[in-house]
Amino acid sequence: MSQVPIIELKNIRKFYGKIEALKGVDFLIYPGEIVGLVGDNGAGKSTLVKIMMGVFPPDAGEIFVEGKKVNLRSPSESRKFGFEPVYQETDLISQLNIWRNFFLGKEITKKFFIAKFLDKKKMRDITSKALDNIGIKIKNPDSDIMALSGGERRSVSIGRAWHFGGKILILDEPVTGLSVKETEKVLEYLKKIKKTGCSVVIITHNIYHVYDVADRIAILDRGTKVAEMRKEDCTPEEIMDIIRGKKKIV
Amino acid sequence: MSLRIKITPELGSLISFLCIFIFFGVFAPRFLTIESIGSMLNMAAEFGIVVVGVTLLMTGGEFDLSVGSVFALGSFIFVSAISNGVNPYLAFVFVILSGIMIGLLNGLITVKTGIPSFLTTLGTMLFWRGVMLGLSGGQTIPFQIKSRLIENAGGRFVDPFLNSVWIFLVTVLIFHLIFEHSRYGNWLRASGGNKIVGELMGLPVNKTKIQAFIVCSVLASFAGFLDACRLKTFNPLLGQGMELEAIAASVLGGTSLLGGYGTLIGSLFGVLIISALRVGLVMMGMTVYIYFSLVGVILIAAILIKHRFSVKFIKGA
Repeated sequence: MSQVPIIELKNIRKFYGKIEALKGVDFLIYPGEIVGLVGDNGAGKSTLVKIMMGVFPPDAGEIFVEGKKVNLRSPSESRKFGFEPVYQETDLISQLNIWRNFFLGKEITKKFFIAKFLDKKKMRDITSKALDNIGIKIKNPDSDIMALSGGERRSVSIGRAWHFGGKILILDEPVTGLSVKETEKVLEYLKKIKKTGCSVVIITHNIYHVYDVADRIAILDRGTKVAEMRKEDCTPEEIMDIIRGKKKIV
Repeated sequence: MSLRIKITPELGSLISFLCIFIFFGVFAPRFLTIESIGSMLNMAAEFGIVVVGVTLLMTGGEFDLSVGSVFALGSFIFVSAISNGVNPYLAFVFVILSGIMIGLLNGLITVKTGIPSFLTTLGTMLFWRGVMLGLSGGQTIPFQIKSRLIENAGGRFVDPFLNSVWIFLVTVLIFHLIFEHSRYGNWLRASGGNKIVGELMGLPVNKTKIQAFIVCSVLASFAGFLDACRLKTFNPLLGQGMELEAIAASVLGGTSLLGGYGTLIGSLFGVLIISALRVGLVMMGMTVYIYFSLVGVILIAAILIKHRFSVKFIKGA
């Protein structure tokens, strides 16, 4: 690929006390690709992603966003670049309906004399349209979140992150706990999102969750990137073997 | 099902109110007269203004047990100020400022220390009651000062309705608009529903809550001022037990004790249920004491019914 990566992390190191969680990891993401970040618990996946999200800085290494060196000092700074996390536990508020959740913190208002009122019609319409664009069908944006299935809830979160200018969606175990059917649906949405030019990073310890949709797979093991390959070049079994440490990397 | 009506808690409170209203209409002689409806609304007004604030705060996931003391303190500050020659308008400003200060204190203690607001405000409830008893010496303070402000706030333009009834209804309307149609309403419900998610989405959760504490205290002290203007006296026992009654009215109106859900329309009917009971029981010639027992029974029944409905709603969805 000749494109400039959206984000490039070079030789990232991170210590938690004396424990080295990341031992010099390189990681990059191009526009419009789905990357699986795979590894067992404690491999350093979450640490790497938290550095991308600006939760904490690396102890060593450099970060480039679209070719320019940057420091990601806070989650809001990282968001300004369009890196949108979608949390694995639901990030919706069950007492609010779909459109209120969708626009939470980014409400559209219209002025009426001195007061600003919510533009409910506009927000309902945008919510339906945005979700529809990536193939998510909801009957009514006024529905209670409580009435949605686990997969539907996650799809609302994903749709929201995508709609609000996400260039890279960061998903932590997005299909854990979902039924087979719902998993397929969520992965289907991710494919549609990819077609819009947005990139997706999927963190998982289960390669079978991402193998279907990923273009590229990076494997972490105890703080080191032990392998990185395009999907065509490997089978899920091989990747599982690498994660388990059975197979050495070429 | 051909007819689909979503049973919301506030619809439930409207239905309960209508049932009680019709019951008294049938069994209590002269309940359906303008005078009796007037006294029902008059009784509802000051209490209702307090309930508006309590509803706001409970929706934001917090409690305020100090409203009864703040209500009395509002009356005390106003009465003692004008008795000492302060201009009534200035005294009114003192009342509102005291409400702001007390609410800010409740909010800051709760948010900064992480003490549950139930305990913070239990503490401030006792504290302000003590301060007021100490300063007033436990004496009632009547006054005879004439002022347009006092006449308007405590009087009635349209018989038999006190002006506070209109103030109450306007308060409900304003806060209904804030709840349903403003950004703040959305944030408040989110803050009460799930603080962690709210912060994740970048909401100023703590600030939102502190603002709700302030509104709650200001409304309580304002209601105390109205009470002083109406009765032209201060009574140190004023507002005792009001905090729990206010929570009861709010919950009857569908506000969730766990935060995240509440409506002003529901609370309006919650308040009306309580004052319909008061007036209706008296008109049926029953002792007032039974009123408390009845409110208790209705409260528990309402929660049970609501619980049944909400379980059904989720299962059916």
